[in-house]
Amino acid sequence: MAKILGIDLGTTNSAMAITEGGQPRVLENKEGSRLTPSVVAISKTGERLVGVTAKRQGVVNPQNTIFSVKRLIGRRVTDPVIEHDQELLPYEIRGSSSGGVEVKMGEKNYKPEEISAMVLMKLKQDAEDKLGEKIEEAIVTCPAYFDDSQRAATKAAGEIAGFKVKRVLPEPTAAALAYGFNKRKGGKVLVYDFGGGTFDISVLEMGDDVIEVKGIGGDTHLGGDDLDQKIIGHIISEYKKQEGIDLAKDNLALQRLKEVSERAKHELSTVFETEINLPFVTSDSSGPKHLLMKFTRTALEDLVRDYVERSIELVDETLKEAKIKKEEIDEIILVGGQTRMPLIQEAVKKYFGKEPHKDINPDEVVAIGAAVEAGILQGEVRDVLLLDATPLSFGIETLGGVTTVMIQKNTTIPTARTEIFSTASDNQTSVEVHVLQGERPMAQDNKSLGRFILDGIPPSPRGIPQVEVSFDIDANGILSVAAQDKATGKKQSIRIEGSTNLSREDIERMKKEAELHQEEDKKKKESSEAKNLAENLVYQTEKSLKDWGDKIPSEQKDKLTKKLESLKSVKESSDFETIKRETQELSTLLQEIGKQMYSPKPDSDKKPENPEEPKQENS
Amino acid sequence: MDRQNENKKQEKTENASSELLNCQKERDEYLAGWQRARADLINFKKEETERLRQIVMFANENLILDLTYILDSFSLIENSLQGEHESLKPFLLLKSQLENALKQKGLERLKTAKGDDFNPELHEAVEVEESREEKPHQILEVISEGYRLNGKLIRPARVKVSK
Repeated sequence: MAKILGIDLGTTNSAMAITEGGQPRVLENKEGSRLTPSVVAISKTGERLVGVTAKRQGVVNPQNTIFSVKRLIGRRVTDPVIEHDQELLPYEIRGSSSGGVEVKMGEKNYKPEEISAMVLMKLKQDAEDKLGEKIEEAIVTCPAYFDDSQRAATKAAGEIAGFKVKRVLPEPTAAALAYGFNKRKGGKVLVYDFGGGTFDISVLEMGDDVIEVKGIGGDTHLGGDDLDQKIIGHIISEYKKQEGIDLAKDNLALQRLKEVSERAKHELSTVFETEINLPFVTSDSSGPKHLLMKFTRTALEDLVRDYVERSIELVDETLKEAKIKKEEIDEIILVGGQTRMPLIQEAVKKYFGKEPHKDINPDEVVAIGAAVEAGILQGEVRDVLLLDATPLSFGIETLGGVTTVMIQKNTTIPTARTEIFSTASDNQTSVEVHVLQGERPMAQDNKSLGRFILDGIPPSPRGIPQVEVSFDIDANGILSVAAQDKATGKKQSIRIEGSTNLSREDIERMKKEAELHQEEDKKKKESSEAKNLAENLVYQTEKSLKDWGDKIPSEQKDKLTKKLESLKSVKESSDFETIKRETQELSTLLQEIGKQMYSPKPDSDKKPENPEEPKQENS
Repeated sequence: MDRQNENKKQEKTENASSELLNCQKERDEYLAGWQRARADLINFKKEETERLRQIVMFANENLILDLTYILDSFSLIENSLQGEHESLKPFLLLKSQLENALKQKGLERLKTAKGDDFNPELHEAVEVEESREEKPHQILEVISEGYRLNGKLIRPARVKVSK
């Protein structure tokens, strides 16, 4: 089925994602980056550039480099916003014959939707190259405050780019979809979107079929860029105090400063202190000058606190206007790269008294949400193929009452798994298969689903027979367990219905119990394993004594027998430390004897190196 | 009587054949779904292998990018201490050591020089200046070098461009 591309057409950056196999995935552009600058340019040589290449030549070609066109899209030329932005943007903006806006790029005038279309076209091309298939349909997002005219223009941009636009989706709605909150009927969600250049607040209510926007607010000229400016200003003034030099006048120094301050801002989201280090930042009559400064999270927070407090005031205003109390908000979603700043996360948490959601990359959450919507549209037919997963693990009881897991919890079904087991004692002619469900390591603590016996195994030493045990869970959760003796082909099986439809409470209880008993369970399992090991060694030693007991000196034989008896006497106790120690000692002794048996007679002068010991490499 | 029997028989046949048709349709659907699921898995595995290869290739991208800024600082030392050969030597040795180590990891420095045409695929303009010597749109000065990691541009060269 053809894929629908989900596109977050942003003011500064755009991103795209698709849904594949039910999972949304962000696509990288041709340059290998998950974000594409929403910048378009006609270069001096007449070439059309889109994305990062357009951005890189902006300084050379400011009149023909169009950015932030989203601020203009779908607006009338008489809109006060246009008047305001005309002063901030370096390219020419003028009224069109139809009363809309046009921007001049190269020799031509373009409508904002035509510029946006160029960004969308690049995304389309890059996505098609990446996926190796044509993409005809798209879902494009827009801010919640966009009116009909702005939405129509956004849709037009998509159509110009060659897409069939299935939907123009509000950005906060996309964010809510990305988190799956649409399933919470009646829930109220607040989306706090602090982007590079704009700050948007939206209050959503999850309806039966629709997500309704209940309130909007924010500041179209507040964003991460303001914070960066503040940091740069701070460093410049500090440096002036230190060295008496004004870096603001040095264009190259300013460029480097911009870069390090942005990096410092990012670093201070994870660490408490960083260093701003720019050797040879500038020079004066006395020679080169360097910049070295400690920058702490506290200092950063003091610088930007006003902006953060302002954003919280705006949240408060928005809620008041929408007549919704903050206590009524069920979930808060953070969107926009700037929300990685701990100060913002704390401020939001403090205001609402609950933790905001930030697990999905805040730069990508809108694109992901658009892809989720795309998945809903493209996947309706496939709903019949929804696959379940096993809520708990399945296994069988093995030697010492231990659960050996055959199918791990969270495995998607239908699934099957086969493993070979053997007998625990000599001449054992039957095995019992005890089917278990649960997360505890000891069989007795798990839920028993059933048991059966496979007999008729030809008598042989333990460990020799091969019994193939297979688990198979079909799409309906019916578990079939079979055991087959490989030598005789004899088979037994059991069928257990409804193994996966435990009640939610039961699953939770069983998981919780496993967590609660983790420590003691670990000890029990260790002790059981120690006993198994001791048992094995006793068996092996006895066999060895029988096989070549007459070939070893009687003195050593006595020692071995003594050790063997001592292990035998403790192996049934519950003191597994002692069992472990005794097992270790017997094992060492057995190895020593074995080693001697392979060594040449002690009377030869030179002993060759023991072949069992790996040679040490010369280093 | 015969006719009645005949009718019943015919009805039965019709029912059976329509059921058969339904079954065939269902069978085709299921087979297609199964084939699709198998194909999805195989494709997923292929993509996953490619993705892992990419991850291995670019796992160090951020670290290497950070180290290129240290290379910048070395270049700045080199430029500012020109002429003082002896004191410069150890720095240059250190620089080439670092450069070699990064080269082993797939880092490649772009060849950017004064007089080259400005190309936004590789260069980022940070300043524009009038120039009498150079034609417009040419590089007047390389401010910092650009780098590729295993063929992918991780840092464009920062340049000053003629007006």
